[in-house]
Amino acid sequence: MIRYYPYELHTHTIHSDGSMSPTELVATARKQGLSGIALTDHNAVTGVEEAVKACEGKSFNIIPGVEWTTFYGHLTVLGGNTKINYQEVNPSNVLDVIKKVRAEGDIIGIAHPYRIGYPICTGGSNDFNISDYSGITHYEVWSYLSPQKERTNELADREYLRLIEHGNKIACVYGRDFHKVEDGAYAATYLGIDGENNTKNAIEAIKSGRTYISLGLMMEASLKKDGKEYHVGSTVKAGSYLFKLMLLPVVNFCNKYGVSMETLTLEGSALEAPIVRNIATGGYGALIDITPGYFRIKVTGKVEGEQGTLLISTPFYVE
Amino acid sequence: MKVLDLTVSLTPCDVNKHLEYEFELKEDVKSLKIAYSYEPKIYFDEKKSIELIKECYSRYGQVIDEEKARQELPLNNLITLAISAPNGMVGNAHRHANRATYEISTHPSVGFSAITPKKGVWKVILSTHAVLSDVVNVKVDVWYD
Repeated sequence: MIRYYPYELHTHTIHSDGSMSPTELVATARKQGLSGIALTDHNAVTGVEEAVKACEGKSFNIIPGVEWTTFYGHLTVLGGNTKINYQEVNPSNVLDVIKKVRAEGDIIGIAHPYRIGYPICTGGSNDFNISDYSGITHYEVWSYLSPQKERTNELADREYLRLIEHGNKIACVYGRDFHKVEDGAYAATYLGIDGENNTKNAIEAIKSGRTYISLGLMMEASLKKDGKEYHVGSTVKAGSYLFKLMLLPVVNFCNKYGVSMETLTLEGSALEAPIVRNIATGGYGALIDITPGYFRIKVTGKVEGEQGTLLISTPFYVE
Repeated sequence: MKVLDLTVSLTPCDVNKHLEYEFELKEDVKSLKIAYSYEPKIYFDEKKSIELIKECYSRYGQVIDEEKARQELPLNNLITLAISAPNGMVGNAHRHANRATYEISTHPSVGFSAITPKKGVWKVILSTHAVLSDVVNVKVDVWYD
């Protein structure tokens, strides 16, 4: 049984340049309705023990991780197994490093790929010139608070789609880059977790692409055929499928940040043309024909008084 | 006892390097103390800063005016410190403050692993994330009581 849990996959504490202790970070994340976080201090893993302790007896999960903060880009390595020294990661060896990380059992993704870089945010943008994305598991399509306002997120989404169009299967994720408590609409990455909400299953959800990023909306979406159900991130054969979707607002969040959903779009090369529907009621179902390629779910509407994208899913891939 | 008294002058040519400096502990100790600082933190050349900020934004397809560029001021130098023990990395202080003291022990400063410092060859590693000023002077003192 797959259930979607809201996570924040990019966080910092006083173990690097964050303002909260791991205990305070966990308390804040729980208060904000999250079910888990990845702790990704800059080049440091020493905060994980305290964070895990702070979760004891609570239904909240910590994914141990680190943000390799290199001169050529920032990479979030999740799982807590890697022994690689971030100082040794550079454009000439990054593909080998990615392979090693995966062999160690961890996953690795691109953080804020289009953040304004040196000398404003040193190493902030992805300048690794990665030629092979097959080992990359996740990509921050959105970053920062109020991601709908951030122009660099448009560039990240464009590049993410280019990577998908080239046959890569990469989970779409959000990273608030949570350093301190600030006001503003924070999104979450919803992880489709099969079984208990723990690190192993959360990592598996990201590896499988069972993710969507959202500002205040919870989504159930699937393709059905011959008694089988497929979640986002799945690879299916071309053909006719029953597509079903239900969106539910996270009421307190939507009230606070003025979220209202308006338009559902299914888009991508697997569809003859994008399917665009009014989604004010929150539900949609239809028989759809899909051909080799991909398609993803996108919801737009209003947030913080402006038009913006409220939800993007990892695609369904069609063979 | 002081085991390292390091002064390094960095220039913009030194950016994007991990500079290693060795020191030796001749015995196991309870606690190592590190005093770390670099000056200046802020890059004071405002005119050049505005140029750099505009150029930086243009790399991301954004043309910005001076008013917007001024919102990014001041630009900063950023040098971070890592410590490596004879048997591997102890930790890293990736922070923005340019003055700090750290302790390596079984109750260490945040960012460093809890260990008993053992005798052998240690390293201070300076990671030069941003060196904008003509000269950035770094000072690292390491000692134990």
